[in-house]
Amino acid sequence: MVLDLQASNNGEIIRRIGISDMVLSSHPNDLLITHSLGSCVGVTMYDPVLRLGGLIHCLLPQAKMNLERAKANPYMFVDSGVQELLSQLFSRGADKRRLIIKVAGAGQFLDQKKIFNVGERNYTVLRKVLWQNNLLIRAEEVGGTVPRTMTLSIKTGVTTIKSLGQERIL
Amino acid sequence: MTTKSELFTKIDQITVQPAALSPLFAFLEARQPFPAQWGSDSAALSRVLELIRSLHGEELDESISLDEAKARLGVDLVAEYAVVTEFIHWLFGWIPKASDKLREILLHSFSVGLGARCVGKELGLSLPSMALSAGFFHDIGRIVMEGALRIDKDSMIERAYQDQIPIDQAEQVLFQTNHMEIGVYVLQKWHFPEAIIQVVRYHHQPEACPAPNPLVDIVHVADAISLMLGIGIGSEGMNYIASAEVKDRLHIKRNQLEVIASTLFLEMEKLNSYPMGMRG
Repeated sequence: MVLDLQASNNGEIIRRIGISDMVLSSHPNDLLITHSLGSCVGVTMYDPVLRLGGLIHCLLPQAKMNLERAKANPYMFVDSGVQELLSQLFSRGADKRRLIIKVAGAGQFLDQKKIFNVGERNYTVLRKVLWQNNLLIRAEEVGGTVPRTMTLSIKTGVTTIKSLGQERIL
Repeated sequence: MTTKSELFTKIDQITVQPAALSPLFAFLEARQPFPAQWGSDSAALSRVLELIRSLHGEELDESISLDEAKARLGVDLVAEYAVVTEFIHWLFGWIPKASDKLREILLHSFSVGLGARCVGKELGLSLPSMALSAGFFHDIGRIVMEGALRIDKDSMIERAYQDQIPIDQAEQVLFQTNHMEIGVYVLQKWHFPEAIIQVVRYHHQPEACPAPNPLVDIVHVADAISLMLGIGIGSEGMNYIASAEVKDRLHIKRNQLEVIASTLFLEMEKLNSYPMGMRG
């Protein structure tokens, strides 16, 4: 797990989440952040009543690609990682009906032939996993060629996206 | 606005060069035996063994010697690691105040070097000589543009997004040249092997290569996979055109692409423990 803790000026504890990693938190000072989403997909999930949230950064769509690696690190893959995030949220009392789910990343190269379309597949598998769990995406910013940074504030539940120097609420 | 002639005038004024690499390249090109001074230069030895321990710590002893590393990993691979560590050591002497962007480009370079080996291995190719070095130096033009020429990278990135074109085309629009041309020019001045120069020249356009070149092809794929992982993506985004011709030529299947991506990710995780100049 690549986790880097850093205190920001306003007392927030910045918790960096690397590729193939996930963090779940109910600590109000935590700001979860993941950088450089390319074809990877970033997902935030937040229960506003419990003020419990998680952020995951998945590299590849399906665990069946390498079950051994998925066992060692389920967060590498969208299907096993998102399912694990959901399991941990539910085990801590999160209610499916309250979950606010936001998605970013799944970028694509410029070529029209979509030769290396991992981003698109990541997104497709994510939709399938959420659909199987009767969950909907509240907001998303996916596709395109820009790299994105995604954050989740545990205190407010606000998810932001930053790309090309511009930050906005998702 | 900086013109092409101004850029090349500045490049001509660069008088330093990574001389320590010459005997290693001479060995890798099978022109000379492995340089004997590697046994006696304790600082250089320590740098390369540190990298080897980071990448191969699970399979090798913490106290491994150079001779043991050569025996276990192959002398060519050890020489390639030495090329990388000596270049980084030299670069941070030349450019002591490296910007975050330069560090990002270096990390991307590292990942493409390691990625080139992953591509070769996963596709069952007979790995061309100097795959690691060719991948590592593929963006040497960018290293020079960012580190030595201090070119405003943001204007290029802005242009690439605005016009939806790859970064090398944005460079062409703004400076009438690109990082491939600059890289080739610099590496020729430094007398690098022609095989690496060819990769620098064609890594964005493998189709333009006069004859199919496996080394160019695998570096092109490794470059794409590194960007997919988000490594170096701040410098160019995903404004990259992956070559259909290369995909067909290498017979890359979707599953293989994903295996390479996950393997490269794990390799790059090992590099987290390698501190020299790459972090902080």
